Amino acid sequence: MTTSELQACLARLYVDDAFRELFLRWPEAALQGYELDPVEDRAVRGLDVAALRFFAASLRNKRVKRFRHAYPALFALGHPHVDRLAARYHQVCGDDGRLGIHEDILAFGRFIERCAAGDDILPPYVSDLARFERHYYAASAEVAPAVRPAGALDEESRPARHPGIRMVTFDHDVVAIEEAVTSGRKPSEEASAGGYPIVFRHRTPDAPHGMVRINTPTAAVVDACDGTRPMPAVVDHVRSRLGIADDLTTPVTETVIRLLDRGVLTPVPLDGSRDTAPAEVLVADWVHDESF
Amino acid sequence: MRASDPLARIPYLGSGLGYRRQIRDAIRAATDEIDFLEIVTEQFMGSTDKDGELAEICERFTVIPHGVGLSIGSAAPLDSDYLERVRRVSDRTGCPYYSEHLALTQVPGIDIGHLSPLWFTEPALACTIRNVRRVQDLLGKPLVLENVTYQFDIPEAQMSQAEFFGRLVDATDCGILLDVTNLHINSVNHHFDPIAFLAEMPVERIVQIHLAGGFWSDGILVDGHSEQVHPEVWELLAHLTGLVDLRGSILEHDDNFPDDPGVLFQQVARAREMISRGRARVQA
Repeated sequence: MTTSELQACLARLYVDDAFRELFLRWPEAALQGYELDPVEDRAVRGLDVAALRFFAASLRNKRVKRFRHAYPALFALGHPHVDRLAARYHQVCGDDGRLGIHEDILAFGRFIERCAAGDDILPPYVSDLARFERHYYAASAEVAPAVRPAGALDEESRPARHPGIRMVTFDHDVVAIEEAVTSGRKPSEEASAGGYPIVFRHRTPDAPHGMVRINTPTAAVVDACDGTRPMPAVVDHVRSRLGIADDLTTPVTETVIRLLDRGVLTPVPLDGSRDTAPAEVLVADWVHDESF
Repeated sequence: MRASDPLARIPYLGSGLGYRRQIRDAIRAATDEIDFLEIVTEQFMGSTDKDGELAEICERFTVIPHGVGLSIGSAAPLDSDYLERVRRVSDRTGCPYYSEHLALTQVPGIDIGHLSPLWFTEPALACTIRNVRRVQDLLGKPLVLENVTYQFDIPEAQMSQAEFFGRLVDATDCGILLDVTNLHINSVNHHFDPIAFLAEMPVERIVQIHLAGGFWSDGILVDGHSEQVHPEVWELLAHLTGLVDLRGSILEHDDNFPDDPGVLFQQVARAREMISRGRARVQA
């Protein structure tokens, strides 16, 4: 008896629908990939088929239940293709144990985003909706480190995003779509060329997660504050991004100060405050459109 | 139990509840009703961001970590990184023992995603003994293994589950977490007498029990952790408390939470009373 080969074969029968069906229809073909001795071979062939199917279904349902919890609006669409894609993900992206539950949930979101963006079956906003819920889930599940306040803003400051802040721009007004879907209304399918930027903030040890919907000029400011540019260069970058010839020193500075107050930016880069850092908390009480 | 037996040093813990974040506030306020908590190890083994939550729980309660991903029956070596994370949680809680499941959850390349039954054979027993020793050596405390529910037997087994448990605890000095609900569910789904099963088990190695409520699905009783404890499970517990000096009981409730958490605390209290009565009889 090898034990390892039997265990490998059993595990695959539990999680791999296609392999299980092959085994049930043509066991010789399925089992030829495993070095089983005669006793092990009899053990596998003697499994209770109905119970095996029941167990496999329970594994699939358990995994999809986690996705439903993390992507409530996506599943609230009630679209059969979402269920189809969830089943497909379960099959083609089997859990090998390296991802972990959290990463599996994020990977599912990315899978839906890519599938929905490339098909004409789902409404055009579904990819954005999945991306929005993925970032919102990450904001709630991930924790950014607490950091010390970093002083005041001056001309030498090189403002940067606070560790854990993540800005994402969507083609659709995903906040309105999410509200419509979860309240049973039909969402607008209209997209905006300018996009809908949203700042997500992961939890910190002291604050809950949150998100804020910002406007395009504010998004340009957040984008410019990458920790490398002093304030005059931030202003120039925003002017260039927005295609505005006027001097924007005052409105950009006011916006940076407002974002500093709200913990989106820091006056200087802090450890982990670049884009590669995990995002952070969202502050529900400042879910207002920002502008300057 | 021998004086040198590591299980003999495990104190009486009382009656407690599985820690679930959905009822975190109710649990924090119920230090008078809950003697100790059981946490799911994997929920506290990721990054350090859960350290504060774990520290807060440990300040209020005795905490026993209970893992679901060890795959103690694996023929493949246990995952060293995973074990290190288990050790971190175990050390932080200062628990007198660590509990897991007698199950297979992983093989190379596949995470089954749930507990699956072992094939009760000599080679599987040898692998499990090897793994238990490794875990106990690493953690420096006894491993206590739980009986799981299963939808099917794996044919051609060389021994019963009870014999497997018996030989495992003899070889490793590990303990048993008897999930009384799992025993009831298995006895219903597989048509055996749970009292006869207990008669074959090394009940003197049972350290702790689990209680929970399940539901019926397609003619199968499912361990849902979502209902109140079934009357048959209380009857089984009454029988068990006459056999063994239990150190602790945990009520597991993961879904369909009652509006009034007092419903859960009442079951915790009932278990406490039954175990206390049983201890008095067994110790007399």
